[in-house]
Amino acid sequence: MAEPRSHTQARDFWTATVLWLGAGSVLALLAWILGDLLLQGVGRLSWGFLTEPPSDAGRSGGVAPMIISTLWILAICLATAVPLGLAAALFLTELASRRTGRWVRHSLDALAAVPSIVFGLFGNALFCHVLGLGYSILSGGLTLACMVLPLVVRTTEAGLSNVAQEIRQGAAALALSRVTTLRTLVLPAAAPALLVGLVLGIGRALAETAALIFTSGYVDRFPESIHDSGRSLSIHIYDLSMNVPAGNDTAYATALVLVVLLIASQQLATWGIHRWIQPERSVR
Amino acid sequence: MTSSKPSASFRAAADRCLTVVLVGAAAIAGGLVLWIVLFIARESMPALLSIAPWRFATDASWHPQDGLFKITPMVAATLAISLVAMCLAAPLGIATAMFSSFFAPARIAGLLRRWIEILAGIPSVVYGLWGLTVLVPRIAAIQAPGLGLLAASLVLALMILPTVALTAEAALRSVDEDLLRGAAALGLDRTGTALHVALPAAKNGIFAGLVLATARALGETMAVLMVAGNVVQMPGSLFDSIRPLTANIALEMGYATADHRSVLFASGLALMLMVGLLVALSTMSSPEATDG
Amino acid sequence: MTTQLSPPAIAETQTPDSVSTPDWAFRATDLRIAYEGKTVLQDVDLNIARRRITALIGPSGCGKTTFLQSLNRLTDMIPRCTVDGSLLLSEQVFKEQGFGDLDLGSPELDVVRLRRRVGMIFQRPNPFPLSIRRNLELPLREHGVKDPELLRRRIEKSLRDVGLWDEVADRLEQTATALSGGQQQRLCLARALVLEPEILLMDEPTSALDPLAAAVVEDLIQSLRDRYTIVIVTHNLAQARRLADDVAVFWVREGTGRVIETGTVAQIFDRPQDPDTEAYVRGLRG
Ligand SMILES: Nc1ncnc2c1ncn2[C@@H]1O[C@H](COP(=O)(O)OP(=O)(O)OP(=O)(O)O)[C@@H](O)[C@H]1O
Ligand SMILES: [Mg+2]
Repeated sequence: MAEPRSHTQARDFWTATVLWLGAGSVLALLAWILGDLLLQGVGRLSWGFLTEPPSDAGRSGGVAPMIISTLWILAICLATAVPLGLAAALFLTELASRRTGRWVRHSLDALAAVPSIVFGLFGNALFCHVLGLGYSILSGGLTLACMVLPLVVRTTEAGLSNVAQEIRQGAAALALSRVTTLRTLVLPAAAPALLVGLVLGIGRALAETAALIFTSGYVDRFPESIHDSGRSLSIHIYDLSMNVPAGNDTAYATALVLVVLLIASQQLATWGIHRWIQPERSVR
Repeated sequence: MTSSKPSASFRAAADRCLTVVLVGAAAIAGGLVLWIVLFIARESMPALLSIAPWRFATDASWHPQDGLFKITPMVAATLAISLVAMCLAAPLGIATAMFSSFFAPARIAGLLRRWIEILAGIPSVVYGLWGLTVLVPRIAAIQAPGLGLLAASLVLALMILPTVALTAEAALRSVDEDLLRGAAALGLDRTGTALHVALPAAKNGIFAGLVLATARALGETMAVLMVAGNVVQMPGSLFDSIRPLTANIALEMGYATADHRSVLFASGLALMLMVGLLVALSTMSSPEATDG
Repeated sequence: MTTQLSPPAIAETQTPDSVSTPDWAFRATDLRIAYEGKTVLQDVDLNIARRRITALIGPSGCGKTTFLQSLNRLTDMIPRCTVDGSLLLSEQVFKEQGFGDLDLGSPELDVVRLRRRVGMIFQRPNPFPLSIRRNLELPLREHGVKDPELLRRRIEKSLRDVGLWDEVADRLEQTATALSGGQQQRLCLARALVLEPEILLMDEPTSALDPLAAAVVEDLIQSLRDRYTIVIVTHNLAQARRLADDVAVFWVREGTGRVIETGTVAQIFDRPQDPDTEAYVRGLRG
């Protein structure tokens, strides 16, 4: 009786050990990356780094123009993707027949899987050349809008479809118009999900590089309008590490700024999702 | 049967207006991916019409300015990097998922998931930077130059690990509780339950995740661009510098004109085709596909 | 929504000056309702009398809710739900006369006009997540009442009608979802009454409430007797007996729901004709 028991115990022990090691090594790798980022980036970090323009091809000075450009690109991206995404999500939950809905969702899933460099190609051809916007913050922002659209639609849709069917029925039984139902009842209830979609979109857009190189360009001056080319933080990292000898310190400092922004937005989104979108997520 | 109230026609008009806006937005959002495909196809037409397709394999080299368009080394590089990366990420990712579903205390599992989500959120350019400054010198110590297939695969493996781990965990988590209770009732130990009951039950979901991760790997640009070395040559060993398709586009789009530019779009189209096939495969094999 | 057109013949025979005023609110003839092609209710021939309380009873899943929702076309909200046969709403129900009976199967039907006259109460109280005042104000404004004084008066009146005024007068701005279940259900009733409908549809209005709150709501329904046409679905036979004037028994036969017997409350409970009805009202079956 004791024999087989100890045998299975031993087997479980060894499996557990191997898996602990596997998971541990994943954690260790992450810690290694984040540690490097912190150690190598924090040296160059200062208030001036955030508020000054770069000098000496970025080896010294700060990243202020990139922060401004990044924010502008982000603003244009969100100003396009959020209304469009909200309207498309409303279509999916309020109007679409099951078939149409399935097609739109499949199409959005496909869009979400398009590699970012392909978005770069598309944005370059459409916005920069066909629409004549050139390398500009506008082109970059619009390209990113195409990219984050699926994320915004699907998150918003999840929030909208969580609005209780009873509320919709109540509104219909009182013959409230669709506009009123949406404005006073559905949208307020779905607002948190919309915000989560927004934050997820921000995360995706902040992290993007490949789609921006050939759309927003890499001029590292302060942009004067959205028609100017502007270099995002992510492109700055790329340029410093690849094209500027001895640019790694600044690249790390910029990366640190970017990752802190990203982790913050991501944690916000995760918290929001658990809080509002799937509060009853089961944990085994 | 018109209503006597004047507001009725107004609200009907408002509802119609809203409907038009929503349908329009959905048409844009739903049609965008098709539009992208058509647009990229349009831009690659000149090359596809003027260059015979076999020349992408039989030309002497990749010298687009001289009209030589041998693209196969870059396709091979893309495939090689993705393959090696998958070989590394798949076992590690699945092991992580098994660990957090069956062996880890709940708190550790939650923590692990948080950390993996962070890993997923780090921008590819940061992975590239880290690979370039940390991994490449260490590989170079074994065999110069350090930039190449191995470095690119390692960085890429790290980047797709979260996709594998998170999808596999979701698949394991959705295994029917009764099945696990049944296994426990039969006296199976945890290892047996995990390996012989849960893993087979979740294999479709895990496979879908692996396919999705492969699609990510094929399309990844910045990180591989920064550590692959970017020499156009067939990958021969783990230490060879190579140039994947995506990196090639990123490197040359800035100055490419005419046929050259068009060939870059065509390679983008090819990339999209590969990714599209994989995503379709993943959708078909994911468990949700069956309930239509 | 694929709602089949019923022959308009009956609708046109009803002229405004018709002497024999029909004493019905709804008239269903050969009504059939299907979800995704699967018929759940068929052969329904049913007159629902005006200014009386009609109870719909029957075991679970026999199509009572489905039938009730076809009366105010809430079936429109369910994808792939088809209604055919003829279903009329008497023109007597409308304040403005001369349009003839309303054909509820018509695709051009003005559902706003319909639902203004036909209010509905659901099984689970569903106040909007707004303030108590906004819950009542929203439908009023939506249907053209803009004058603040009139709004205030009608809100107060409907709250008094459901006996809620004294309980909530000093907290009209608080969110309605903070009310107790019984209060919420009464608010929903007030919300339906505020539009001054002629007909009230109620789907198990007390079954989600505790016995005390249920008794309050039931008394309330009693107090609406004679002023409204009420169609109420209930699983509580004692309640049906207390409230109803007329009863329609729904039953599943050969896989689809049907109306197997109709009559006054006395007929159904004391002298049931159908053996299934008899067993059901005696609590033996269903
Ligand atoms: N949206 C729907 N789609 C498909 N079938 C439905 C839908 N709603 C109801 N049904 C089916 O129609 C039949 C009648 O349902 P209905 O809700 O009208 O019954 P009911 O008499 O109200 O039952 P209960 O007393 O439990 O409320 C049931 O078999 C049910 O499964
Ligand atoms: Mg029901």
